[in-house]
This record gives sequence, C-alpha cells and structure tokens, in this order.
Amino acid sequence: MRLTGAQILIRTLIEQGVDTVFGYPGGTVINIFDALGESEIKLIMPSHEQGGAHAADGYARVSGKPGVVIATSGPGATNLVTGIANAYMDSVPLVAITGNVVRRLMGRDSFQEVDICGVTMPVTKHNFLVQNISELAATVKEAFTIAVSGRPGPVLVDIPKDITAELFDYVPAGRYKVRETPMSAQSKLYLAADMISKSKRPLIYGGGGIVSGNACEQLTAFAERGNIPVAASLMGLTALPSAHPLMLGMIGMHGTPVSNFAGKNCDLLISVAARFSDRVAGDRKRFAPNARLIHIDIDPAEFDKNVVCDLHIRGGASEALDELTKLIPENKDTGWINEIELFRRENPMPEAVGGEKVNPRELLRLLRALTDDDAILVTDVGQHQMWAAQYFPFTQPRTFITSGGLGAMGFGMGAAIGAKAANPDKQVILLTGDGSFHMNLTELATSVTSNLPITVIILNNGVLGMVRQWQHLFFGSRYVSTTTGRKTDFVKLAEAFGAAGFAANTAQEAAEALKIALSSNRTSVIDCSADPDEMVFPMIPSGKSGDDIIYGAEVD
Amino acid sequence: MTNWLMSLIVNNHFGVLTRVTGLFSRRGYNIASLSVGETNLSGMSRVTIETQAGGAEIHQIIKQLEKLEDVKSVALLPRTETIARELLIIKLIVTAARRDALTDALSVYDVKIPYEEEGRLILEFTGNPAECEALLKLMDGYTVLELCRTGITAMSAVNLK
Repeated sequence: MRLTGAQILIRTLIEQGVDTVFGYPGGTVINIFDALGESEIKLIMPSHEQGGAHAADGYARVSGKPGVVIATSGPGATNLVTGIANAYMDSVPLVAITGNVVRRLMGRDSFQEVDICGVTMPVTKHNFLVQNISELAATVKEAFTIAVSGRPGPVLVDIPKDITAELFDYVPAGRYKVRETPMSAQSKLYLAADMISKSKRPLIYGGGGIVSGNACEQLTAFAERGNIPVAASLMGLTALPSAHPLMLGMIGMHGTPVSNFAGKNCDLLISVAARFSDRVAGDRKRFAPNARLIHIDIDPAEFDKNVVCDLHIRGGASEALDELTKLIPENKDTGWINEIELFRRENPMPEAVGGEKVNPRELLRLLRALTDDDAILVTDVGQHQMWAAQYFPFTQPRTFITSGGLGAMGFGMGAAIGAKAANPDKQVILLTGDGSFHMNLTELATSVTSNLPITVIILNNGVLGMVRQWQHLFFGSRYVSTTTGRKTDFVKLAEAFGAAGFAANTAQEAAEALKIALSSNRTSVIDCSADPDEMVFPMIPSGKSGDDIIYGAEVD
Repeated sequence: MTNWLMSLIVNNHFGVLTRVTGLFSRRGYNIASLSVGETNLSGMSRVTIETQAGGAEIHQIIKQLEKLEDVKSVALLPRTETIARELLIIKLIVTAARRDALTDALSVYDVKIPYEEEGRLILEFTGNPAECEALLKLMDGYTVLELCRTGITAMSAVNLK
C-alpha cells in the first residue's frame, strides 16, 4: 500500500499503542497533522509547545506508557527543549516528533530551521534525523523501544517535511518490545542478602525507578519481610503509602527529620532505583556515614557516580526486589524500628501554625481529606512542591507528579493536563505557586478547550518563595527580584480563560472552594492568599549533611 | 590521574562523533587524543581516545559511553600488548649546513622525507606515542613551520593469543 510519510508515521504510532498525542501545528508538520486529523488518535493542542512536552511527560508518568509530543521545526522544536530535559532528568519515556525543513533546504539557515538533534543531544537518550522515507517506520518504532527500555527517557525523531509528503510502500513495523536488562549475577544477590541479614540497622533509600518500574508491591513485600524502614527520594514518594509504618518520608535537603536520622544512623543502606542526587546526598562523602551501601539500579552508569557503594546490583527494581525478598530471612528484631519510632515521635515535622492566611501545611491535610484516594496531585517547583512532598499523605503509586531532577517551574500546568488526559476519571489537582503558575498559565486555555478539567490551587504569597527563603537564610535577607509585586487577579484571569475562579484567604475558604471546584467538573483556579515569610523546614543547606539540619529560622 | 587508551566501535553515521565528544565535554572529561576511521566491520567505525582520568572516573566514562545508542563496544586497552601508533608530519626549515646533522640525529628513527626543497623539508614518522614524543623533542632545535599528528590509533594484541 502506497502511503505518504505522514500517514506511515501515524500508522506506526498507532502500532506502538499510541492513542493520545500532544501536538502544535506548523509549516513543517502540516502533512503530519493532516494525517493525524483522519486518524483515531486523540490530538490535544497546548498553548505552547513547552506545555505540550510537559503534558506528554505527565501523561507518561501517570499511565506508564510513553508520552508523545509533536511540534514544528525551529521555534516549535526549541520550545520542547525544557520539557524534553525534564523528562530526561526524571527518566520519563517520551517520544518527541519534530518536523524539519525539506531536505534540499537543510543546512542553509532556512526559515524555521534548527538543528534540533544537535540541540537535544545532551537531554535525550537518543535522537534521530530521518533521512530517507524507507527508514521512517523502523526509526519511529526504535524510538519507542529506546524510550521504554532500560532506564526510560526521551527520544526525539526529526522528520524533514518532504519525507512526510513522499509516497512509499507501507509495511507495518509492529509494536515495540522492551529490551530486557540483564540482571547481575545471582552471587551478588546472595551477597546482598547476606549483608541485609547481618545488618542491625538497615534502611531502604527508594527512588523513582520503583514507581516507574512498577515495583511498589515488591518494595512493600521486601521492606515488610526484612522489617526495613524506607526513606524515599522526591521521585520515590509514592512507592510506599505515607501511612505505612515503615515509611519515613522524604530524605535529603527538605526531608523529614526521621528519614535523615535513619540515613545518618543506619548500618546498611539499600538504594533501590535512586541516584544519590545532590538534593539527597548534599555531602557525598558524609551520606549514610556509618553504613555499608548496596546500590540496585537498572542503569550501571549510576553506580559510584555520586556516592561510592560497596555492592552494585544491576537490574530492574521489581526483579531485584523479588529475588532479594526470597533470599532474606524474615526479620522480627524491632530494636532499630523502635529507635526510629521514638525519634519520629520526638522529632515530628513542623506543625501548621494558623496565621492570618492560608497555611500551606493545613491546606495539604485538607486537600487529602477532600480528594479521592486515587486523586493525582501535580505540582510546580518551589516551596509549595516541598510542602506537598512533606505533608500530603500519599496512598497510591503514580499519584504524585512533580519535576524532580530538572526542577522546572512551569511544569505543572502541562503535566496536570497530561495526567488528566491519561486518566479522565480521576481528580487531578495542580498545586502551584504564583511564580510557577505565571510561567505557563496559558495552558489554562488547553484545559478548558480540550475539556480536561483540573483544579489549580495557587499558594499565592506574592514572592518567589524558595529563592526568597535562601536569600533570607544565606544572603542577609536581601530580597532581590523575589518580591514580584505583580497585580495579577487570578480569579479574573481564570474567568477570562473560561475557567472558574475562587479566592481564598483562609484554609477553610480554600476547602469550601475546593469542594465546589471538585464537584463542578470544570477547570477551576483557587487563589490562596499565603504568607510570604513561611519557609520550608527542615532544611539541610546545599552541600551539607544530616549533621547540619536547620529546623527553623526567625523572620525579621 | 592516569593516561588511558580506549577503543570504541561505533555506528558509522553522521553525528556519532559529536555524541561521543559531546559526552566528554558535557561531563567534564578530557580528551588528550582522538582518531576515527572505518573498520573491517561494515557500517562500523573505530574511535580511539586517549584520556586522563582517575580510576573511578574512567569507569564512569566507559559506562556513560556504553549508554550511547551508537556506541557498540568500549574497550580499555592494556598498557602492554597494545599496538599504539601515531603518524607525524612535520614541515621544518633546515639550512644546508645542518641538513646532515639532522639526518644523523634522525637515523635511529624510521623517518621518511617525502618532500624536500632548498632549505626546507617534510618529515613523516609513524611510531608509538613515546617515540613520537621523543622525535618531537628533537625538533626543539629547529624551526618547525607546520606540525600534523593524527592522534593515536591502537589495537589490542591480546586476542592473538
């Protein structure tokens, strides 16, 4: 069957199981959109390509399937870059498809021509410039294979416009298959099991690969059998329910006191699908200083990259944990757990202290009470994100969608839309700050127009709170550029986009607005007035260790 | 810091060298010498890289290289039992009075003189890295107009056993 390159692309996407794409049209992808229009694929158009990339990312995190975003050449392609980098840092399977100028114009600085393969090389697992229509179907399939295999990540496929118009014999490429990662030798698992059974004070440091690798049940079984407490990275927070007795919460810079206590005092740290980022191991030399370390990861390049470990096990989290659970004895010793529990009782997280405005800690508790168990909480980046990580009681995997590694303000709107597209029946709440929301608030239009209703809660303190907090703590309270002084009326703004707007001055008002918003099935924005002096604690300053925790600070 | 010689087999298509060298610069690794050429394997090229790195860092470099889709294999070449060669081409000024002294000094090396005219000549030399360095030292006493070196290419002899 003779088809155009655009039609071959769309058929190949469908063969890969794609039912939703996020795409913004333009000159070099006009043939692709023409073919999309006649296909059964659901096409969601963002306001800006960055929003589309974040949406594809959010879609992938929630569904576990690769997200797909399509953009035109030049500015369309460069607008994707932050979204692609975000997916790269958080190991999210994403396939970005860009148009490029026709082949005879390439390399001549033609209109809307950018070497997007060159631009995205450092932030993709791999990228392709399709140079011949005969390679198109196989290349697209290979892009999916790479995106999902091993440690997942983004792959970009750049297609010159003339290839999308060219006719070629269509031969189905078939569905991609995940390339299996070989596990380390069984002897290493025996060694690990031996280390675990001899440990008196073991700790699991769980990362995002447990969630993305669908290994949460295996983690639970392993932790429970070994009676091993779990401290999670930001990306790993939904690996075990917050209420599970073995769950200590987040570890690292803004981690819980008990997590960092356990990190400091454990005699064995078992890192599972985590990467010892500088936000976890601020001081690489003094992280878990009293422990031997086991590192389990699907990506061997993570071994000894940041923190040198005693034993490395290469493999997917689910297989490795399954094997280890079989090998370790059931542990009934409660000494270490009791010590941790005692510390946890004596060193709780800072409590919500009323105040005149919407208290973020109180807001997060209310949010849990008012939302379904399987509601998806999306965040932007900054103080609100850390409060969500610290105070929102997580119940299920893949229900906390946040920009971890890249820390991209503006991630939230697109990601929330992608999460809703993947799960139209679940509640999707975006908790954001006024700073982050300002970056990509135009995606409100996408949420309204594409009928993907989300509830946006803005913790509006009128400042860029996290940077301001650093300025307060480390720069003599010289607040440069963090007091934004913006006059944005978020209620009117929401209404202007066709969404519902609410203003809340107290947590109770926020709760009332939230009830209305969640039952309305409309895109809603709740502008919560918040105190600019509120800070995120505890805090381990950058580059420091668990010995240097700050529990609070006076505000002048 | 140690000097390491590594040999990569990579897909022979455009952009692959950028991926390899980009990885080095992005992660702050250093390339001391680099050479690329086709191999007997169809569609494959060999990239030979000399790099200075600590013992832990060299393992990171190898693992990061192995993650590149276009890199098929990475081998660290052993210090001994490796045939490592570099080609030097040197254009220099030599007065007639010093011409014989120069050829005398060069006689221990297998140096060719592929081109010569009044007062200047081109030397060609292929040798292992140490020999190349020694030859270049010898050139200190002469006015070198141009110098080309290919970078090291190398092959392990271990497989011969």
